[in-house]
Amino acid sequence: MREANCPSCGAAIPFKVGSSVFAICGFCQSMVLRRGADLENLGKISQILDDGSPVRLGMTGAYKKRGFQVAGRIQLRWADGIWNEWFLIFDDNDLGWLGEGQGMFFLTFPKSAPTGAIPAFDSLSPGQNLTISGKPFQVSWKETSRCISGQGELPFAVHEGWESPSVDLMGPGGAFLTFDYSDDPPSLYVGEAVMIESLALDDAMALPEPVRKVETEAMACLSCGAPYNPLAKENASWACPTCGAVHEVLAGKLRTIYANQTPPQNKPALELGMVGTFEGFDWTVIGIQRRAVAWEGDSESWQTGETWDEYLLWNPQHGQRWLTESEGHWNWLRTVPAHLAEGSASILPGSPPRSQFRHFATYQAMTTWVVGEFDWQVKVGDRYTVTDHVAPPWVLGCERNERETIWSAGQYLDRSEVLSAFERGGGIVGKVALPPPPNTIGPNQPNPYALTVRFLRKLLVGFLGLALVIHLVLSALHPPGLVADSDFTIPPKTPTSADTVLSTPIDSSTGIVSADATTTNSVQPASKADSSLVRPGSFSIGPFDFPSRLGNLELELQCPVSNDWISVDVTLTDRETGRTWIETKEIAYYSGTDSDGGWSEGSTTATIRFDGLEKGSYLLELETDRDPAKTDPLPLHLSVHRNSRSLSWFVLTCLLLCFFPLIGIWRTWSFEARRWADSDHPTQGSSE
Amino acid sequence: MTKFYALFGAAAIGFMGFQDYRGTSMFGRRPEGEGLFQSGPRRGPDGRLIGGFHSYNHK
Repeated sequence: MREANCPSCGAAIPFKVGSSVFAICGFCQSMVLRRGADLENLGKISQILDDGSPVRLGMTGAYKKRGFQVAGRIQLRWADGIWNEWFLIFDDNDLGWLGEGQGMFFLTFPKSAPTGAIPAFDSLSPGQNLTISGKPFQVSWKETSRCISGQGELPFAVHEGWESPSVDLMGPGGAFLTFDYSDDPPSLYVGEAVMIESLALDDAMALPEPVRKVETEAMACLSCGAPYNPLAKENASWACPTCGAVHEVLAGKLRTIYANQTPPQNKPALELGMVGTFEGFDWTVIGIQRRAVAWEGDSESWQTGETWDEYLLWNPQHGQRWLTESEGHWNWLRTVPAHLAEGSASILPGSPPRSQFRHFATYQAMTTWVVGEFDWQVKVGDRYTVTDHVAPPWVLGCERNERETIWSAGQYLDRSEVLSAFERGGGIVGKVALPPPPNTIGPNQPNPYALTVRFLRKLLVGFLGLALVIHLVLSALHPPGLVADSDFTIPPKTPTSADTVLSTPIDSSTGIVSADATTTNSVQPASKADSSLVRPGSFSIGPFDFPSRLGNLELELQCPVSNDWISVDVTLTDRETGRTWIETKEIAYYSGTDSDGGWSEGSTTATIRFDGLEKGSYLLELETDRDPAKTDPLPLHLSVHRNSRSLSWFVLTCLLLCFFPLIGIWRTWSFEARRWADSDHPTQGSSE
Repeated sequence: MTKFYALFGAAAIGFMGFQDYRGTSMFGRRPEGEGLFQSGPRRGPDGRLIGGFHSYNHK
């Protein structure tokens, strides 16, 4: 590093790199041009406007693991505000520029461009698409700016009023190009949009900010004389809170842009100068903008509807943020580079990527009232096409007009968070009186049921799994088995059969009433003494042993009735305890044809289940009844199963377990439906 | 709601487990005089069935 002395005041002027030919004395603002070993005094330049930039001369940082130091700065003014070009010297003596404007940062490096490769300045316009090196780029900004001040060392000489026509282009993946037409031929700068946090700026070596001498007589409203005391920094414009006159702020002087501004009937919730604590830092409200949804009326004049307030907040180290309030819904926002807003990675730390945001609404937003300080020339009547995308609680907004595209992203804030932030902030001018809690649903308002439903879903899966395991394990405790598989014949109910004991005699060896009955070993023969008392159409099985400690018995009855019915009374008796199970079933089946075609009803089968059996000896008795008019015998097949498995309790439990999650899902869906009812896609709530 | 659901779920599974342990079904008949939801035919004091029905009102 070389060091020279200011030819005007003698103060030391460092030149960190040999390529620097120009420097501005930090003490007397003299512009010093280096010609070999000689220094030439080019006069003085205005002192830097304190624009509240988080970057300071002398700061160190890193970009892609390469360290750099902020060596110089050019401060420029364009039509709508101020922007800085910070001159960076990297550890490997590479040179770069950090452009800063409206809270966005672009890091570029000078590159050589083939002669004629850069289109003429006049041939480009914002929004124009270009293909450069095979990649699509779009002109994002085109302005002729004027230098208003400078700091430190620079690789070329500038002066107050030095004009810099330039065109910015945005490309895929955050690629950023600048065509600088202040050189002939034009220069090319290649880089990308960056988040200031990613540069790891360290102010340990930063130089103290120069204090600009303010011309006090100029710092009053030109309309009403109210004093202009910048809340935090100097900005491009100031709207007088007393009379509403909007001024351009230029080098410590005010110039009225327009004086007639109608104050709103309802005041904004927050006031200028209020300090709120967000992200762990204090932010001061320096500007308030009221905007409204606008549409073109029949007479080609713009109509406005629903309004909302946007508060511009400022912190000396972290720049600016936006706090917006609409119908009691609050959002904390910051501008984001286009490549992050449109890329595949998280837009902000903790936020989802662009792909998870869903388009909510596109509308025209018009500024209807402003007060305070702004870093661009704010105008009542400014219109932007706003496109909102949401991924609750996150919101991603894009504002476009014919000159620029600005992306912003942020999160929904609960009313209580805003209130406590300003109560913590300390610098409250007046009592914070926020609007009442909203009775509508904000576009990115978190769904209060979503978290609960997510938890209930997880719990449901666990419960269902547990229920299945328990059901399978406990069901396995009761091994199933066949107790009897028998065929009977039901005799016709005729007067002559009243004296008939059975249609087929009891086989004394098996105890089964039908000659062709098949039985299992557990079926015990019925005694002849008992059978003599049995009425026609009555049968018995057993006694038989039930070996399990607990369990059930299931009977399957099959009778091929056709346009007929039988009734079966079944009695199961525990011979030891005398407990009885009684059930009556009808087997009926009818069919035929009528004017509608064929019909049928009923079934030829029936199932009876007896629960609560305990280990013991049981007797099963069946008594049938049938239509007396029928004269043909009917076969009846009976299967008796032990410990038949049943899913009924398991199914009921699953249904009960699903009940609460389903209610939660319904409430979530209902909330989303109400949210999306106000969007451009009123049917999307059902897809949540 | 989540706490209530956790308790409710645990109780429901516990009840299901108890019924599965007993080998019962929702639709099974319990011994006479037992069970909460007994219905259907009963025997009268003389031992005869009370009820008995032919439910089909066929065409």
